[in-house]
Amino acid sequence: MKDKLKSVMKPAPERFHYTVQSAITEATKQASPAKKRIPKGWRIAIAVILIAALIPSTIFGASKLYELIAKPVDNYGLELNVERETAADYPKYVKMHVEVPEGFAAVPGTDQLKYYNLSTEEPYTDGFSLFPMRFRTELEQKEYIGNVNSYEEREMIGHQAYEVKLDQGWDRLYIYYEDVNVFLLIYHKDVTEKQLADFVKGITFTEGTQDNFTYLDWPHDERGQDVYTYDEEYAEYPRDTKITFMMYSPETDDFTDRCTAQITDVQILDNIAELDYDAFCPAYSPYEIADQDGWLNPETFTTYKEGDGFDAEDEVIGSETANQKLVLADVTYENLSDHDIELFVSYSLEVLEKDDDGTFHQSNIIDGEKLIYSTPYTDGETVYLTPHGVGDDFCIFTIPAQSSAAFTMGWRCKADMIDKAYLTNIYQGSVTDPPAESDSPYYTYLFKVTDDDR
Amino acid sequence: MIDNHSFEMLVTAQTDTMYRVSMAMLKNEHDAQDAVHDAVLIAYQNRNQLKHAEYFGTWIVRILINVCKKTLKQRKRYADIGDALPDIASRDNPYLSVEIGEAIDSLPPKIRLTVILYYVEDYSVKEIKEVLRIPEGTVKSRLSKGRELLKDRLTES
Repeated sequence: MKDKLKSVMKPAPERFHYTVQSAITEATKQASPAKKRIPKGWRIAIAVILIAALIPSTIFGASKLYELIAKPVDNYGLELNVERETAADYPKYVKMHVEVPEGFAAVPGTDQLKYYNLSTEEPYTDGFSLFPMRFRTELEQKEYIGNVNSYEEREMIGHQAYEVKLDQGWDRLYIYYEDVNVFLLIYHKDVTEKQLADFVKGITFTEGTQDNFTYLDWPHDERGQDVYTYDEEYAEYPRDTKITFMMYSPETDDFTDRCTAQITDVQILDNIAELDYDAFCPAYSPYEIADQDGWLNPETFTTYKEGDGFDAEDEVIGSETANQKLVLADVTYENLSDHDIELFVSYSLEVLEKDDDGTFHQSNIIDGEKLIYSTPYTDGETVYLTPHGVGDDFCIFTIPAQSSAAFTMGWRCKADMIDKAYLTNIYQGSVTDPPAESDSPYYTYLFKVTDDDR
Repeated sequence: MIDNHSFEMLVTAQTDTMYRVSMAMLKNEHDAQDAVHDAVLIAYQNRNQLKHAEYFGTWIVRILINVCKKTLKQRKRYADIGDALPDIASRDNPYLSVEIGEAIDSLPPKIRLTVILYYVEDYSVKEIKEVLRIPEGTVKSRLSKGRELLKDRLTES
């Protein structure tokens, strides 16, 4: 599925790159914030070097390879520099030119990347769509095409090409322009072989400039999973623990706004008839998640082997229908700062296994390597919220200075997993009290679900 | 602290991701450009808050998502006072295939963003948990639902 979805995504258009570069220019003209002490400078330095080596060098072109060199400066910061290394001999910037064949026209607003058949008068339904790419190495390019299903090698006007024909949808033709190191993907639909050949004949590349070039996508994602090591920490606290967290303040341009959050009550319900039906979030209509008397409908929990959703369907390995419960939590937020704040409601529900050594892990059956997953015992989606915030699928509340606001939130959970359910507070700003027991950036506060009325 | 040149490199490397994430949320290139612009400024102002530089990508995307949410909130406000703003600019889309693009666009917003982060941007489930600040089970649930809906909608079409 990844390959399929990636192949249909456009790279950012040039005007978007311009926006980003303008924002960077504007940002870097501002005064720099004061340097902060970085206690583990070398560790970060090593990480930065690793990342730098993995950053796609899109903006720099392929004629140079760049390497970040980082070193700690007086234990207070990092100095990062860029060194260059000459690589292959092809233009850093290229410009693609397309001679539009008779009977076709460019789709307006597509940066000369899409062409439709004038006889159909319907842009986007047929014709050609171009997706120029560049790979850092020949091996990467071979790996990429090796992952493409059912291609046939052929030659097109003296270039190596790979053709993929599909029963429905857009066929694909990959052409490698060796002199400029561009791997061009041409999607085409409802065109004849001659029209395709004529279209390809009209495509040429010349050397571009920094101000006039064709954007090339770098599809090979080199972010190694080992760089993104994930050192997650869960810690359980008494359910009524009041947490204090700092939020970003536009007034001080720093994380100085202080707020608290506290769970004051929890209820576990089988029946929602007594609740305010208007407080159910739009995606979870009470009339769909419960019967006419308000009893929560059972849910089917399935274990399956993941397909790609296109060529292979998910294969069901096991399935059970089980009752659900609604966990309701009352939470009070208090704004301790001297001005209004906007905050995202950040509580959720997770079902976790607690090991003998006190560590937690997810209860769901999951085997990433074998692509086996199960329906989560709780999907963690907030189904009930009162009072409602603004937005259909997110909630941002404004709390006046020195004021409190109380909310009731609800989540569904598989009934026989309630004993393993925890309310979580995920990364609500920077929690200062109680302090995190580790320096993991992924530190989750857990509050055991117990029914006050049970 | 990240110097200016490195900041530029790190941000530029995220351009495509920021484009697709902001378009997935806002579906309007003009708003998406504004959101990315604001996110870059906020990221620069707060770059000394980034304790772990290796997480720059997920960090700036998280900032961008919050900016997009505020944009959506503002849209909602305008809509509430009767000044309806279009939710979808039909011409702006980040897809090359109309068929699959429409299927992705038809996904509920939360599921759409999760699917794009996982399947297009190659974020792991745990990275998505960090970026969206939702439990791991929620990420998996959205991916599962997303696969199901994509299959249904592509079969229908």
